[in-house]
Amino acid sequence: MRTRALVGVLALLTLWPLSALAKPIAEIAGGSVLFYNDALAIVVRNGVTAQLANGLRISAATAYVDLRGDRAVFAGNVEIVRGTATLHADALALDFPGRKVALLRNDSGISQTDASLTALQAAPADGSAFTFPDFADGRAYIRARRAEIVSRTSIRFRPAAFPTSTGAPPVPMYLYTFAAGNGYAATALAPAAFDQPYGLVSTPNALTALHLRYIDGVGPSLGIEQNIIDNNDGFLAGSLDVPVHAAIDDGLNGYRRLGEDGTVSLGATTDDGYHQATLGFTQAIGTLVSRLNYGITNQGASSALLSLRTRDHRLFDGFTWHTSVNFGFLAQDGGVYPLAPSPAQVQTVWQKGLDVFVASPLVAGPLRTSLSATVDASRTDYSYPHNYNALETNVTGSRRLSRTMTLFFGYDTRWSADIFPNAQTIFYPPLSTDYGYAGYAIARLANIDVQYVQGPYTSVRLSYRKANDFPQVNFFAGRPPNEVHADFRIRVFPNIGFSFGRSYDFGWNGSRWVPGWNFSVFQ
Amino acid sequence: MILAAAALAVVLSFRVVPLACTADGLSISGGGVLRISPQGSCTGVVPGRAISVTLDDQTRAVPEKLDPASHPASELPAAAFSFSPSSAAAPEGKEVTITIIVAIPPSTPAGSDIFLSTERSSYNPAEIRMDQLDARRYRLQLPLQEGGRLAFRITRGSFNTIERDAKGRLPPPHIALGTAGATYTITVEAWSDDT
Repeated sequence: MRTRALVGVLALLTLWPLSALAKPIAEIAGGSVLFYNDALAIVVRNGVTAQLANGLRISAATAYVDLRGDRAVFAGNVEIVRGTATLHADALALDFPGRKVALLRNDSGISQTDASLTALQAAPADGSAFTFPDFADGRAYIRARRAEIVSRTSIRFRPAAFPTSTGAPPVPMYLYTFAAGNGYAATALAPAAFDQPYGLVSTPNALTALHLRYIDGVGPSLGIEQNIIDNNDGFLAGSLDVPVHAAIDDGLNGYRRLGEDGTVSLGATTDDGYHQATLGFTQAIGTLVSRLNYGITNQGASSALLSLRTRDHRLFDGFTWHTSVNFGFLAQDGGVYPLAPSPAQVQTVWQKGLDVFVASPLVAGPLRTSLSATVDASRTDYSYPHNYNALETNVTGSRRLSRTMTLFFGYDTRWSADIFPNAQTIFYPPLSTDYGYAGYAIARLANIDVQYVQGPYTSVRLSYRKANDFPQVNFFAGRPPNEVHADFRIRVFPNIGFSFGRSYDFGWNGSRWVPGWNFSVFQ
Repeated sequence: MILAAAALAVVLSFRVVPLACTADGLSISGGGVLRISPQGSCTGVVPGRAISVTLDDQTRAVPEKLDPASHPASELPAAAFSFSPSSAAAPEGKEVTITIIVAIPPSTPAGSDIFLSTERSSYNPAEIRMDQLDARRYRLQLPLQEGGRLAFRITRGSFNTIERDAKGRLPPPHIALGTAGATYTITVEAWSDDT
């Protein structure tokens, strides 16, 4: 309860109303305010009025605003007013926040002034400021009546309709964020089959968004997330799961770059009574990358692991390899090994491990296929007599069947041995059921996929995966024996597309079909 | 001789985006002002909507309905202007297709889907699933406005599997520009969940 309260308080702290600090640099209204998201521009048709934060007021027949360049062009019977000063022109170009104003008159060419609208000077060479692209109205992503622009941060439309998106209803307000920064990708919400953020308020370094979600097995859900950004150097993301269902999860996710070569990250989640927090550091040392991860839960468990990994090095003929070593501990109140003869005496176990990974290059195989392979071997020794060994191999191939269709196939096998010297039967009792395996496991997965891609608008991928694992017992170990996936990506309009995935597990725990799905809208 | 006469009879038209049309001239995107022919009229000229112009025998402009086959405004002769335009070419609002190719590290878990996460969705980590080229490369073709710009990142479908650089840091977003036929090749050095 204490952990949950702490996470909740921290998440609430990130919801601090920073939005009050963000003042629009310009407010623009007109008959039709059209937003083009890939050009990051708006075009206003059928009359436009604009009010700038420095007091300039402009009216014209049409306008173009380049949000990335922080500049605007007004055209057709332009009038610009500040206080008692008024100027008229055939076209007008200005920067935001309106310090440089250029006027174009058909009878006299271009002249320049500043925000005071006095001291007009001829400036014949400044025509580039009057660039006005011709965007088709039908390709606009948002159509609105009013837009509030926060420089290099966001634009808020009121009301907002999405003319090319049949699935998106008009909304009274829509906030579109275009501020740069790594942290806008950060989320502290748990994964969902569908997650559509809806921006509420933003500043140059913060965004508050409502998330409309659908979680498999749970149903529709709402989340509120706050991201605080420090350019590309750091972020803090806090999420609150709105309790519209029984399973509630809140979270916190943070990252900061430490100097040129290091990072620190933190995470905290609370999910249906289970709370955990993690802290991690990375530091590049020459060509090595070191990581230190520490985790703790409200169930009395904690762990720390320090690892050192090389980069991929060339071996021969295009083969590459890397290796990593690690050292750390596992701790659990009441004992790490509940089945040990005296579990309470083994509450902390130290571990050290080694991993070696080798990858082949892509090579031409028989029947005009392209093949590649990887091998990964690892061993971990524990201070309590125990070692864990694993060997994984993978072969992946592809063959292009036509200009639009490609076949993929692969085979992955993972062997592992969980060894307790002289005590194997204590930890893996010889039961007559599938649960009674002796600590040696093997997982095999074969897949075959067909992918059809028709230009930038259509893509379909069908997959079949056959798993043959030992042990293979639902909710205990192994994977569903059979899985079928179908993924579609269709762009129904130039700037709106849908991605839809459907999967079925079958022949698993007596169920004929276990469906799953994912869905996203993209632009 | 007949061919030469036929060529002379062809009237060239030019595509312009008008800013304002008055008796003094026709100002266009790029800041130039075209001289208006007595045969021409400002009727039907809407500021901000592309039109075509033809030139009379004194290289004065005659506004007309947009002809898709018109030449770009940059080919207008200097003599047509009463005030010369900037040399900067204005984007024409066309849609172009760009290609993004992503090379993934060999240690990427087998069977992973690779996604493009863009600024358009506030970096939804599972925004657009990429198409697979072979075991180590993925590709996505995207329509983009000519002259547009798109910031994006690569993920395996969640923020916990977003790309990292060789030093383990979150790299700044990649930038793609709306240039016809442009191809951007990205190499992912590592993933956030690498051990």
